[in-house]
Amino acid sequence: MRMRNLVAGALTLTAFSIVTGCGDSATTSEELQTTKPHLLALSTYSASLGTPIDAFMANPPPSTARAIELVFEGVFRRGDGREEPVSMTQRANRTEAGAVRWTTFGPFGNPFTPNDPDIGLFKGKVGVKVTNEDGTSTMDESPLPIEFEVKPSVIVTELQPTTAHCDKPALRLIGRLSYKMKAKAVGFKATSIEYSFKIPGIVLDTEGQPVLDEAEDGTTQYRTTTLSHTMAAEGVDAVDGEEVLTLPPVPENVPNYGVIFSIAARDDAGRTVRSTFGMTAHNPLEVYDDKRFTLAEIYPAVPVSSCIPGGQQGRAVDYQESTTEMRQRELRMSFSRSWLKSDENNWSTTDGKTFSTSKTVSDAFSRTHGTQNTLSFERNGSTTNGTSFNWYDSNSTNWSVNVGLKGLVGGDYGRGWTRSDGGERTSSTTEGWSRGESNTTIDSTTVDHSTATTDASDVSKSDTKGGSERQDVGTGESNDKAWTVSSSDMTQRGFQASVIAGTYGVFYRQLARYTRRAFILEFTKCGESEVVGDITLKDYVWAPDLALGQACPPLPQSNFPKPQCYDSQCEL
Amino acid sequence: MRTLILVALASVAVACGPPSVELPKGNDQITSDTPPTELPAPSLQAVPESYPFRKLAIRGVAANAARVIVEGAGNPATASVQPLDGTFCVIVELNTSPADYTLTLRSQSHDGRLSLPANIGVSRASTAPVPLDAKLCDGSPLEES
Repeated sequence: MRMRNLVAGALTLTAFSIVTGCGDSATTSEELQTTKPHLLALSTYSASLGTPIDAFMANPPPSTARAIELVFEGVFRRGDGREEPVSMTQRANRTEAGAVRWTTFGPFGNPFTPNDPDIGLFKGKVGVKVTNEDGTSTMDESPLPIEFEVKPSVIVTELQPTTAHCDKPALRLIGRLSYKMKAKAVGFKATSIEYSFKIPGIVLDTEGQPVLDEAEDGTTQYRTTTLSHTMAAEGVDAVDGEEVLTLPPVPENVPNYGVIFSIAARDDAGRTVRSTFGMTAHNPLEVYDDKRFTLAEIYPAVPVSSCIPGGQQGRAVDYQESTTEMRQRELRMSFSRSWLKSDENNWSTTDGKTFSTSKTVSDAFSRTHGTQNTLSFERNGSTTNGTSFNWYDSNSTNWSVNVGLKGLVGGDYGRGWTRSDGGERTSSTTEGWSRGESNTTIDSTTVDHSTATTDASDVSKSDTKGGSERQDVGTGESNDKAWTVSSSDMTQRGFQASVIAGTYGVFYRQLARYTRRAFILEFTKCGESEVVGDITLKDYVWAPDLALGQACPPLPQSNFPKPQCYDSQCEL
Repeated sequence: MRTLILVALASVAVACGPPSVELPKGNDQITSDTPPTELPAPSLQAVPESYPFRKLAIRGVAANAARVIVEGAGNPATASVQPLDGTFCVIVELNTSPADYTLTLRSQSHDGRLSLPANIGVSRASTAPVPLDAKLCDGSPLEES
């Protein structure tokens, strides 16, 4: 009986602990009865087209999720009472771990009624759909029932360069182009309309290159252009002719700049409906770089000292290495052959190389259709700043975008910078771009070391490698070009360690190769983007380590990882 | 039977979190993420049990939160939390009258966590006394609707 009571007491205690928990703040996922991403609320349920709508969710997916979308299922009732079924998915941009922003609610249309923009009321359910890192999808298990009102709005029905014929409003702007646009009042009778375009000021620097106009405190100066029109009877207004919006060039030191559109339409009753949205202006060619390095190769660890005895008491050893390396950094660009062959874009170099196999530069310019563009790039033979791409359209307007080592490495050669690990590195260019039809590699290393407790090593390494060009045929054709640059790198690095009593130590040094990949994007005049090539940069770093062993020789085994190769360009 | 007792007691210990173990002192370098701050349920100012208007302003404090979310009256309502003092004011639309509402408020942190809920009950009735000096979140006076 006593045993029964004891068992019952223990079980009761167990049950109690399960029910009450132990004081930790419970998550509400249990109360929400779902562990999957779930939409909790929208920031508003009544808005004019063009208003950014935030959506807040429970159980947010990890940051590695590929995409987060809002899924709407229900009915949209127009202002005149007509109803249409709604089943749509809207892309959302993540703004926080638990928040996304629906940015396609205008300003170019009504996603509930894409073919005939109108005001009205959506009744139905909206949930979250997550595309995970592995490509699988996760759906909201309990979509949120809502009513969402589309209020009277102003939408932009046309926004395109004056030299283009886009099927829909441009998604991105291109610097130096002139844009015309049309705006339409939806759901109310506007009598007047005002436009305001806020654009950063662009001025020329001492070398005649466009740069952002910045005040002494570093803030960008903006200029605002305003227009005021009487609204046409049909409720559509146009900005065209001498009023077109002409954008300044995109400076080389920024990937793009923002343009803020603000449109206000008024009716006779004094009601004002506004639409404000921002767009980015790009160069026709842009290098996208997420600034991440990828480990490509780990070289074998190399001993750089002889045996260092720890003696009976042990001893501290200090390793100082001053390295001067003639280092080869490679910049490789690869272009899609199909893109190079397109009528819209022909590439050529200033040294006479034509990338388009069927057309020459003069042929390209002689063509008459207005959307034809010729893209050429030229090598700068004296600096490591990169390759200058020039892009021309039929009006012979010239753009350029600069890509290369300067932008990818993130430092300006010739300057010194202090690394967080205590080392200091200075670089200076000794040679400009080199390019040729053959590859040769010369790699020599010399190591001198001295005493057991202070090891001073001078390492010199020189690489000379010509450029290469490869033209593949068949499916997935591509056109590769590679440039290399030799630069002198001065590295000083200190390393302190202890050789334990009764052991022996040997300093090792290990080299690692990193790659950094960027993509070349082309933007059409209608703002659609396409990846037309990629750029791969490779760079080298090294680290010292002290290996200990009971005897020496044989040399103690290094603590460094074993040589590994992660790409197809490994030397070993 | 003894085994059963031991299992039961062990489950109690496990349910109460990790055992107390003396850990060695760490070094000065932070090698792990900052532990998340506590996210308590929002604390609310008093709300009248009976209320005559359609729009109800709920005020309170939500410590360490980015926003509060209110469920229980049609579309869930949200409001941002003031970062300095954690105060918030959210408008809830009580569209149906007369009706009894049970509103559930949760706060959400910037990292997406949700707090425990705080529940309040309110009845909307046209005969309810008009609250004195009550205003909406933007300071505008309450109106019948």
